[in-house]
Order: sequence, then structure tokens, then C-alpha cells
Amino acid sequence: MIRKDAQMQTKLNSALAVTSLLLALGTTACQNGFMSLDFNANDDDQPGMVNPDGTIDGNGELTDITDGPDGCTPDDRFFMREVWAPAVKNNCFGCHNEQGAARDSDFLLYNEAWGNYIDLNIGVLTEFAQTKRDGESVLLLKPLGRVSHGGGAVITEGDDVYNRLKAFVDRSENPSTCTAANDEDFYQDVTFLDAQQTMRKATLSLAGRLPTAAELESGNLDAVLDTVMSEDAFFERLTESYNDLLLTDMYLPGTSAVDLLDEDIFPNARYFDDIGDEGQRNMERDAANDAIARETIELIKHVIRSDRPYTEILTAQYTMVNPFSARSYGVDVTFTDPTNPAEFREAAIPGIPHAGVLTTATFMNRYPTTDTNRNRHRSGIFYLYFLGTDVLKLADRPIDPTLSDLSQNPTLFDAQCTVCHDVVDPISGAFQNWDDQGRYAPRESGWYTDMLPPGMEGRQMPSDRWADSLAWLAEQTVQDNRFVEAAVQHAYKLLTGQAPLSLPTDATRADYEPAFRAYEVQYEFFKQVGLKFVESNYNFKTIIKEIVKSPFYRAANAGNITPKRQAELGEMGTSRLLSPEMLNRKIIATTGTEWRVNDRNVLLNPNEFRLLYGGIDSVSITKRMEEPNALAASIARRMSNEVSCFATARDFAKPTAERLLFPNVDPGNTDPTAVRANIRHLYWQLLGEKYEDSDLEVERAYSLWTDIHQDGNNGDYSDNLPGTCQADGISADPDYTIRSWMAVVSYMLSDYAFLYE
Amino acid sequence: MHRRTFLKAAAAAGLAVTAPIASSPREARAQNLGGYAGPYWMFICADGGWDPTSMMDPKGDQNGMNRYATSAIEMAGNIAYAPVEFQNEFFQKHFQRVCVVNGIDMSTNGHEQGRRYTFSGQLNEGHPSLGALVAAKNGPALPMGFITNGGYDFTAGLIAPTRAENVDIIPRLAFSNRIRPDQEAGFHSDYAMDRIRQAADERLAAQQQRIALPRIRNAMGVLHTARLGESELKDVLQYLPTGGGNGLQDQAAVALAAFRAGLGVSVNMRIGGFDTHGNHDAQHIPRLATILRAVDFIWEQAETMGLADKIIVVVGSDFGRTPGYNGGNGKDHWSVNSMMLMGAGIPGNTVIGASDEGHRPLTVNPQTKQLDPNGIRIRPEHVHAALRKLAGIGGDSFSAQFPLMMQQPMDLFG
Repeated sequence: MIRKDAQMQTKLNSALAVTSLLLALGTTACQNGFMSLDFNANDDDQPGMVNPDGTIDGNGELTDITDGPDGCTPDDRFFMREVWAPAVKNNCFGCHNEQGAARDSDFLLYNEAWGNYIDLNIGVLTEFAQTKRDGESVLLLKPLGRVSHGGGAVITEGDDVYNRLKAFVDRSENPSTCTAANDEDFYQDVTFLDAQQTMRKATLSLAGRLPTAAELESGNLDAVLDTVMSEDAFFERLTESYNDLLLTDMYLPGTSAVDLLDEDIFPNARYFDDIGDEGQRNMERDAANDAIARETIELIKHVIRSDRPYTEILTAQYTMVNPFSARSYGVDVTFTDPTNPAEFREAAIPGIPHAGVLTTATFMNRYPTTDTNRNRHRSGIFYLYFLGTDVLKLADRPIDPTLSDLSQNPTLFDAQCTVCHDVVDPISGAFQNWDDQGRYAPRESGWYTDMLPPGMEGRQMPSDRWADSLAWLAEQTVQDNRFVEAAVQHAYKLLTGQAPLSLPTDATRADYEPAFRAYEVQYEFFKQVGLKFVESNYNFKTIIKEIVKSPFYRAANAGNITPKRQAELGEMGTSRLLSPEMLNRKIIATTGTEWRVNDRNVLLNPNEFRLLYGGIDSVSITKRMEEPNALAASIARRMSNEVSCFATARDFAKPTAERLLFPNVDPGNTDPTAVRANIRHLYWQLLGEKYEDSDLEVERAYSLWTDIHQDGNNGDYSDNLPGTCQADGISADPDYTIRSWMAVVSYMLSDYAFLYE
Repeated sequence: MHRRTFLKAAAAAGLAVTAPIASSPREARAQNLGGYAGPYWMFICADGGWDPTSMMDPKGDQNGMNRYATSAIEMAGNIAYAPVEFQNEFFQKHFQRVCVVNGIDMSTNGHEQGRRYTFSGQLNEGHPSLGALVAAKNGPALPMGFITNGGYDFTAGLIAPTRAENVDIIPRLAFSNRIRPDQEAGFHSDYAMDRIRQAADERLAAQQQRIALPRIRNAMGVLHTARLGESELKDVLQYLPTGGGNGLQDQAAVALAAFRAGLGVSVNMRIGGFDTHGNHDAQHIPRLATILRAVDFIWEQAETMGLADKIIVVVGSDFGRTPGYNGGNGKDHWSVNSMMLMGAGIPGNTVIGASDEGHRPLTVNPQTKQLDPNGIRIRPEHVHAALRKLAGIGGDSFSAQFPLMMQQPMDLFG
């Protein structure tokens, strides 16, 4: 194992060097990369774009943003495109991996499950490329069979693989000065949301509101995003997003979270039980429980709200308490308003060596362990959430139990097991001081000696850090570029609902080439965003702003594109089915009405439609629905019918200047100009679409309105609105205009553009 | 736009019409797009870890295992059962359909791990529940292909699950334009509703011409195809029984109606409250009776609906409970379990495996399935291998993505 650890250390050192180089070069890359797309601002017929200063100047064409010499390709892209995929993956990796025939060699490659496999493999190859025998690189001599190679001669001088490896060797001696790929051609036929549409999409998504008239007028997206990201609604959105990941809301019901606290350690945990007044007792019980349940997420929100380095979510030597959970923990914290459950403060819990979110009771219990599991579950979760690495995919082939030698400890000695356990077990050891109930309780007998010692990927934890082992792990982790990648990818999922692309590995697939192109462009995009994130001292809001302004967030359409281009652009453009929570906010923001039946918000109530419409309960249902089924489609249909009923008369009852839906017409107004003007308003208000009066979309909705209006005046219907659709003194609809508008609103509320973002 | 028109238009436009494709059985069969005529799979999870010694692996008061007398243990055919609430009625009525597997070695006392093992056949993470697997195999495009009300329902991305446990909600969705589902009055007139749908279809057609980004086009197509199933919910509605049952019976009623309408393949049903570390008998035995009443309800309904020869019922739990009672009159976690299987293709009036008087697992001969001290322990993967074979997914590439990894194979029903 010492040899393997040393080997892993070597590989990691190489990889970190590459990462450091990329980070050091970050400023130039970001200033000149495609993230700062610049556009001419003189063509109103073209989509609006975002300037480097964050303003949106209307519209224009791409400018030349070449960031290096013509033909310049960054080293990582060169490796990905020219070396890894066509040469190394298929010719070397099969043997040179942790489970392969060459698993005992010094040349071990990483598969795509590793969050930073590109960097890691560049490091491995660079080391061999720079090792020379008689002036020739070992990276060439080995596969040529000119020095000892278990696989013999597998290439010949001058063949394709040789040429690619040779090119890599040359590069390793003369690294490129090019730090960012120029991908502007990738977007050449893509059209984007304009300035106002981008602003509308971002404010709805992040804060559940429409942009104000002043914000739209300003055109300054950066400023609007700064405002949005200071609003409570943004932090509500963060709560949802991080709970989608951490699932700690499973402790919200009853006293589920308080019950996680050991009363021998926290004798005051259920202090509220002694409160005589039932109402006060229940209020304080709920406030204490909710605060402990949300402690992990509150810490993350606190870091983001305070513009602290995002690294603090792991390294914070404190947790977050409100006035009630502070009493449960028995910590003395000063609050501005000791009766306010929403006021959270930093607090160090005596006896706990804090390590940000890792040491909260909810994290430890949500991801429990057993005597036999030995924290491996926690280790796997840690890798997945904070290092972007799915350890369950590290092994490339299924385990064959008949090949295992069970007479020896297989997790230490069987290659089928060590491929994962060499990675997982050291971090399991870093969780050593936390028992199966999530208590800080260092084992009296010390950590297990029949598994790898605590550490992280070859770095053994110093014994003087065993007492605060998770703090040590946090310090290592936040220096790892995978932590940056994980943060960027979480923000991307938050904003788009889409998972990052995976590297296509089957070169025989017909769509391999365009899929590869799409992947490398997105890879570069994430890298550049990560560099900006680091440059901003790990300010999470930087990631949000960069993604909102990016082509990925704003792509809306493309020209007449070929099948190959369709494959390349397969993941461009967001089309997220709104979650029940997001749809609820959108309904309220756009119509001024909540979908509430029998005094219950039917989209948010778990006994009504929340779970049927794809929500989660954080316990048994933990993944959000990404595609609607027939039931969800029916819920959306009922929503459109019921909300149009609630909202239409209610909006008409308001003074014209305060109306959200009908600023251009009153009930009874059948003037075509006014009706069409209001239809155009509704397209923008509800769907974010802008049309000229002559557009066919306006004509379609107008035809819908007039047909229903005409049918309504044929004498078959009552003069009154259905009772549930009446509002604020409006009950009659003798000329059927209100019901005609209800139909138009329903038509739009059930549209794809309303249900998706 | 009608389904067929839409599908043709979608195909012509290169629009990916992906799951969920809603379909009436007749239309769907005609277009080879789905529609499903069975078999139908119903999984019931006794969440929390049940006590087989209080049901189909009874021990009695000998050694303090149970409160009832060992001499009072009863038999229905070859099946022994505990003399407690509703069991006599159930087993005497249904024993010809029942296959009991006793003495299952779970290798875990963890709830999550145990549920996963019982309902996927694998202790490791990442394997889909059998309910998801059979639905993905037989009806990935059906609007209610895999209905889940909890329990272990991991799908591994194979199929979009549908939650549907509340009978009351279905009418509100089936009649989405009615203010109250039991009354004719609508939010919009019938004419208006038809015009809204027509305008939406026209807009979709225009968008298909206008939008070139595949992701957006596909999402539009998915929404539209899901909508084609809206009206088919009325098909489910007509098969829903009137009158409320217990929670499990509601779950079963919705699933059976979906099956009868040809819109579903499998359902995960769940009942909690079995983790009885205290006051075991009083809390635990009524819940066992609730399960048996629900299974009885399933067969009664299935007979009425003409589905009885196409239904398979699988009942299981996280693990078993400790032999005897703790100081709180409760029972703790115990890694020996039982399962109850019933229905099409299941050998009835059969008991496979056993546990000893202390509820420790006994070994069986893998060929004869008879108790054999030199045999092997039955594990959940053995049960799942047999169920997969029954489902016709035993050896194909589809299920090979999720191998059962049996160290010692055994054909349980062979």
C-alpha cells in the first residue's frame, strides 16, 4: 500500500501542478474568453447580449475574441481532443487502470468518474512524457516496445497513436501559452434571449418576481442580479436548491431534528417542553426544530449572503442557530430580536470541532453509518457533493466474487475492491470521530487498523489532526479544483435544471463527434466560470452571474441547422419543467393570484399536488421529476383553468394602473385595437414573448378571444361568471368579455413557455 | 391535433417523442406504442421491519418468542400462521395462492439497506426496485407505468415514476375543466375549452416550425404527448371503486384501475409503523392485519375486474424483528426475514425455507429447496432471480445492467 500511496501522491502532485497553472493563468483567460462575449449595439433586429461590464446593449454580432495566436489550442483541450479520446483511452486505459492488467505498473490512468480526470491524466502523461531514456520519452518508448512494456509493442513509429503521443511529448516540453479556447464559432447560428428576456428569466428563476420597469429600463443585468441576490426570495430558492442536494428537510416534521440531539450532551434540547402556554410551546418547538433541520443550508446561505468565500461552507468553525435552536444547544448568542425565528447567527457549539456543513447533526444523520459501513457512505456522499466524483463509478467493470480471495482483507488487497476502497476509505477515516448517531464521539480504541488510515488520496492525515479530522479534510478539499467544479456544476443545475454533459466514450456512435464538441465547449465554459469564481475569492454569486450571462442560459433558438449541428447543440437552451415551488412563484408574480383551493396552496401542499407535480419529500421521494407524465399534464391543465378563473375578474377589479394582466382593456371593451394590445401585453407578462401587432401569434390569440366572445353571445350562457370566478364586486359578465379573457389567460398559462423556463 | 396526426407530424419534423407517451390501450397497440395487458405487479412494503414470527413464520410462546401459545399456531394447507388478528380469515381464504419464503438472510439491520435488498434483490446502492425494472421493461411509455407510493422505489433513471395514492385527486384531474369533478359546471364552456386546445395545437405546430434547438423541441414534444394522456385518466376513473378503504386499499384501488385501463404495469405500495421497539404486539399486529386486508381487497377487486389471473403480489419488509421482547415490550432489528408472494406463476400453498426456534435462518438444498444442513441460506437475490425469471427479464441485456450477483445460485420456483 505504501507503494500505491506514493504512486497516487505522484499522480496527484502532477495534477495539482496543472490545476495551479490553470488557476494562475485565470485572469487572462477570463478577460479574453468567450464568457465576455462582446457585441455591437446597433441592430435592433438581433438578439441583445451582455457586455463585459454587465450592461446589455441591445443587440449585435459576435466580435473577434481570439485569445491567442491563430490556431492556438489550450493544452487541456488538445489533450482531450487529440490525445485522450483517440489514442490513450482506447489504446492504454484498458490495461493501465486500477483494475486492469497493468494495475501494478506506475502508469495508472483515471476514468471519467473522477471529477478532474482530465487534469489527473494530463499529470500522469506529463510525468512519463518528461521521463527520458537516451533522450527519448518513455511515453513513446514503452508502447513502441523499445523498453520493458508488459503489453509489448502496441504502436509503430509514425502511426496515428504514435503521432498523437509524440505531439503530447512535444507539448509537454513547450506548453501552450493559450489559456482559453475560442469557441465563438460554436454559437454562430444560435440566437439568444434579448436583454429584457434574460432579465425576466433570471429574476423569475432566482427571486420569483418579474423585473421592475426601472430595471428593464436600466439594461444593467449585473446590477439587477446584485439586487436579486440580496432578496429573501433568492435565499428561499437557494434553500430549495441545496435541499435538493442535501435532503436535510426530511427533519422538518415534528421534532425530528431536535431528536437528533443527544440529551446527555444537550440537556436543554427539548427546553420547550417546559413552556406552560401551549401556543408558545408549539411555536418554540417548531422554531427550534426547523432551525436545526435547516442548519446546514442556513450555513451555506450565510456564506453566500455575506459574500464570504464559498470554501467556508466546509471550513467554517461555527454553525448557524436561531434564538430557539441556540437554547436547545445551550449556547449563549446575542440576537437582535430574540423572538424572531428567521434570525440566524454564528455559534460555536462547545465540544464540537466544527467543519462547516459536515459537522451538523442533520448532515451526519442524513448520511448515517454503521459499525460495518465505517463511514464509507459518508465518504461517498462527500465525494459526490463536494468533489464532483461518483465513487460508485470508479470501477469500470463488475465485481466477480469468484475471483476474490476472501482469506485476506479484500478491501485492502483485492484489486476488485481497492479500486474504490483505496479512494473511499481514507476519507471514511476522516469521519472517524462521528458515531452512528451523528455525535462527536471519538472511538476509544482508535480508528480501524484493517483499513487505510485517515487521509485523502494519498495524503495521510497527521496524527495531531485526528481530533479535528473533518476540519483537516475540509482544508484539503477546498484547495482541490474539483471543489470549484462541484460548486459551478451545482449552480448550473440550479439555474438550468440540467446536469453537466458527460464525455462521450463510444467513438462508434454516429453522434460521437458532435457530442464530443458539445462536451469540450461546456467543459471550457465551466473551467472559465471556475476561474472567475476563484478570482472573486470564491464568491458564489460570481458563478450565478456568469452563468446567467452565458450562451448556455440565454440560447433561445437556432437557424436552419443540419442534423450534425442539432447534435452539437443538443443541450443548448434551457427547458426546465418548473418545480411546484417555482411554478407557484411564477403564478403569483405574473397573475397576482395564488392557486389556492379550500384555503390550501394546492401546488405546495404534499397532500394535494406537490408530489404529483414532481416535488420531493426529502425522504422517500428525493429526485425531482424532469419530464411530465399524464397526471402532471392534467395538473397543469387544471391550474390554467382554475387560476385563469381566479385571476381574471380579480385583476379587472383593480384600478387600471395596478393591473398585471389587463392594463389595456376594461370588461365590455371589444375594440380590436385594445384587445390586440392587451394580448401583446399578456404574451410578455405570462410568457416573456414580444410580438408585433401583425404577428401570427397575436392573430391566433385574438381569434381565440373573438371566437369565444361570439359563441358567448349566442344566448346559451348565463350572464354571470361562475361563482368561484367572481371577485371583488365583479360577478356579472353580460357581454362575455371576461370569460373570453379567461380563455386567453388559460391558453397561455397552459403553454410550454409558462410551464417551463 | 389528434395523437396520430401529432405523431406523424412529430416524426416528419424530427421531433423526439420520448416517454411518457400517454396512450389509450387500443390506440397504443395499434401504433405499437404501449398499451399493456399484463401481468401486473404489486409490491407492498411493510416499512420499518416487520415480524415474520407474528405472521407466516410463527413460533409462539415457547422461548418467549411471541405472546400467543405455540400450540395455537394454525395451518392453512402447508402454510403455518400466527393465531392473531385476521390471519385465519386471510390464509384460509387465500392459501392456494400463497408462497411463503422464510428464513431469508438479510445481512443487514439497516432500514434503508434492508428495504433496498428486499425490493431490488441487491444490498448495494444503485439497483432499481423490481417494480421499476418490470415497468421499464414492459411499459416505459405508459402514463402510469410505474406507480409508487413510497418504499424502495429507486428507478435508476429507467422510467418516470408516477405518484398516485389519493383516490380523491384523480377525478379532479380527469375533469380538469370542471369546478367540482362531480358536477357538470366548468370554468370554461365546452366550446371555449375545445378552442383553447385547438389554439394550443396550432401554436405547437407553429413552434415546431420556428424552434430549431433540439432540447426545447423535445421538451415541447414531451409535454404534448403527456397531454394526450389527459383524457385517458377518465379511463382510470371508470374503474375506481366507490367508497374509501384504508390507505393501502386506496393505493391498490388506483393501481388496479390504472392496470384495468391498460395504463400501468407495476405499483409500489407502502404502509409504515412497523418499527415497534416498544409495545410491539399492540402496534404491530394490527398493521399486519391491515396488509392482509389490503391483499384480500386486491384479490377481491382483481376478480371483479377480470385481472385475477394477471396479478402478482409481492409483500416484504426491511428485515425481521428480534426473537423475544425487550424491556419495553418491543422487538428490535433482526436480520432474518420472510416474504409473501402470490399470483400468476407463483407456486401456491408453498413454503420455501425456514428458521429455527430462535428465528435463525436454516439452509436449504439449492436443487430440491428442502432443508439441508449442507445447503445454502436463502437471500433476497434468490427471490428476485425467480421473480425476474417470472417477469421475463431474467437473462436479457436489459436486466444484465443490474446483475443480481448471486454467489450461490438457486432456482426458487424451479
